[in-house]
Amino acid sequence: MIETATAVEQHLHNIRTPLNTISLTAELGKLRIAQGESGERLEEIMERILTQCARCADQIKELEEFLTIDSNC
Amino acid sequence: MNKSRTALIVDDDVEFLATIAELVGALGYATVTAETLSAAKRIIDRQNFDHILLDLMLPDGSGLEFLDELAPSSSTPTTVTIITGHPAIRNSIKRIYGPNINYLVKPIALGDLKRILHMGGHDQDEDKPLHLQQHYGSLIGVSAAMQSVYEAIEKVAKVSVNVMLIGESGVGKELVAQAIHAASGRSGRFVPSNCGAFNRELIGSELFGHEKGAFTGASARKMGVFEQAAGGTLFLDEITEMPLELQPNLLRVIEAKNFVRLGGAAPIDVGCRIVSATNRSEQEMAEENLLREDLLYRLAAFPLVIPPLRERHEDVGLLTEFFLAEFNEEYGTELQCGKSTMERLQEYDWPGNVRELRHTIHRAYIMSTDGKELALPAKLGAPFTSDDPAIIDRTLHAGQTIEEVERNLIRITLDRHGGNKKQAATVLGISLKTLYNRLKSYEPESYHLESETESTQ
Repeated sequence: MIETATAVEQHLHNIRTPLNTISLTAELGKLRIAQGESGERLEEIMERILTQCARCADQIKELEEFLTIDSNC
Repeated sequence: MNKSRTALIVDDDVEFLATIAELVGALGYATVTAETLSAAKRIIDRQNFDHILLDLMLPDGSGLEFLDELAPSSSTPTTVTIITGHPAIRNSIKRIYGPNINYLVKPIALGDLKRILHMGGHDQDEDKPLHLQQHYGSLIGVSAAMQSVYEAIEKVAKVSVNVMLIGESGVGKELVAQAIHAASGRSGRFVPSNCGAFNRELIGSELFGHEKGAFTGASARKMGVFEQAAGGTLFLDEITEMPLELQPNLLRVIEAKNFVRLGGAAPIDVGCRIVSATNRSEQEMAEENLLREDLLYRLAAFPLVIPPLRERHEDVGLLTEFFLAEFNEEYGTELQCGKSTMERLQEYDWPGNVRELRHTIHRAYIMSTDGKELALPAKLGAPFTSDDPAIIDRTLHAGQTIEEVERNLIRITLDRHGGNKKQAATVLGISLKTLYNRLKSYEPESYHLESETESTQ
C-alpha cells in the first residue's frame, strides 16, 4: 500500500511538472504580447505550451495505466 | 551604464528552467542557470549574484544544502528565493533560516515573480567603493587593455554577430562572454557549454537535442544547447577541442541557421548568438589545423583577444582588493593587503592569469592566521606553473619519467575542468584523495596546510 502511495505521488509530481511549465510559459506569452511582440516569437511560445500539454497528457495516461494494473492485482 | 542585475536560477526541469530564465531575463536580469546542485555550487564559487532562485528538490541533493553553504555569510547581499510546489515547506524553512528568504509557490504567477525580483533588490554595488564595481556585472579592471575590451563588448553587443574570444587559460573568457550577453540585453539565456567535455557519441544530441526514441537510451525528448539558448547566447568554450570530423555539423547549422533534433523532422531556427572561446592563438589554430577554416570564419566574425594579466599589471591591485573583499565578506573578516605584499603581487608575472591570482589570494587568505594582514607564501606561483621545461611540455616522448607525464596529465586535466578537483579525479580515474595526495607532493612546503584544510571539506 505504501509503495502504491509513493508511486502515485511520483505520478502526480510528473503531471504537475509540465503543468507548472505551461502556466509559466503562458505568463511569458502574456508578457511578450504586452511588450509588443508578435509572430514567430509567440508562435514558438505556443509551441512550447503544446509540447508540455502533450507531456502532461502522456503522464496522465501513465497514471491511468498504473492504477488499472494496480487494481487488477 | 549598461549594467544589469544578475540572477542564478537552479531547477532540474530543463523546460521550466528555460522559461523562467527567459522571464527573469525579460524583467531586466542577466541570468545564469544550473540544473544540478553541483553545477550551482561551481557557479557561485566564481561569481556573486544579486538574486538566487532555487528549487528545493534537485537530482543530486536538496536545495537546503545549498542554503546552508550560503548561510554563514549572512552579510551577503544576495537575495534567495525558494521555488517550491508545497506551500507547507514554507513555514518550516522560515523557522530555520529566518525572514530573509522569499518563496515562490508553483505554479508561479508573473505578478509574484515581479514582486520578488523588485523587492529587497539591494544593489550589490551600493556599499562597495566605486573602483571595485564590476563592469557588466562580471569584469574588473581599469587598465587601457581592459578599456579596449569594454569598448569591443559595447560595440559587439549591439550587433548579432558570432564572437570568438581568444586568450590564455585563466583570463576570464567565460566572464567576458557573460558580459557580452548582459550588454546585449537579449531576453534568452546564457548557456555555457564546453566542447572539450562533450561525449563524442553524444555530441550531436548535446548540441541539437533529440526526440524521444531517437536512439537507444533516448527515453525522453531532450533540448540541445542551441535550443536552450534560443533568444540568448550560446557559449562554446574550448571550441578548438571539438573533434575535426564533427565540425562540419556545426558549420552546416551556422550556415543554414537552422537545425533538426536527432530523430526529428522539423527544422528549428537558430535564435542565439554564438560566443566561442579558445586558449590557442590564431596562428596556432591555422598551423595546427585545429579548426576548419570555413568554421573559423563563421565563428570568428568578430575575434576578441582578452589580454593576459601580465599585460595589464595595473589591474593586479584592483583585482587583489576585489578578491580579498570577497573572502572578507564570505568569512566575516577584515584582512588587509599590506604595501609590500601588494608590490610582490604586482611584480609577479601570473602565467595562470586572473584565475591564478584569485587562487593565490585564497591560499594566502587561509594561511594568514593573524586576522589582520594578508601573508603570502615565500615563493609565488601555483604548483603547476613551474618553469621546468619537462613540466611545460605537453607532448609525450621517450626520455620523460612516468612522474613527469603523470604530473603533466594531472595539470592539463585540472586545467580542462577549470580547477575542479572532483571532476578531474573522475576523469583521471583516481580517487579524490589520491589526487589531493599527488597535488600535495608537487606543492612547496608552505602550501601544505591549505590543501589539508581543503581536503577535509
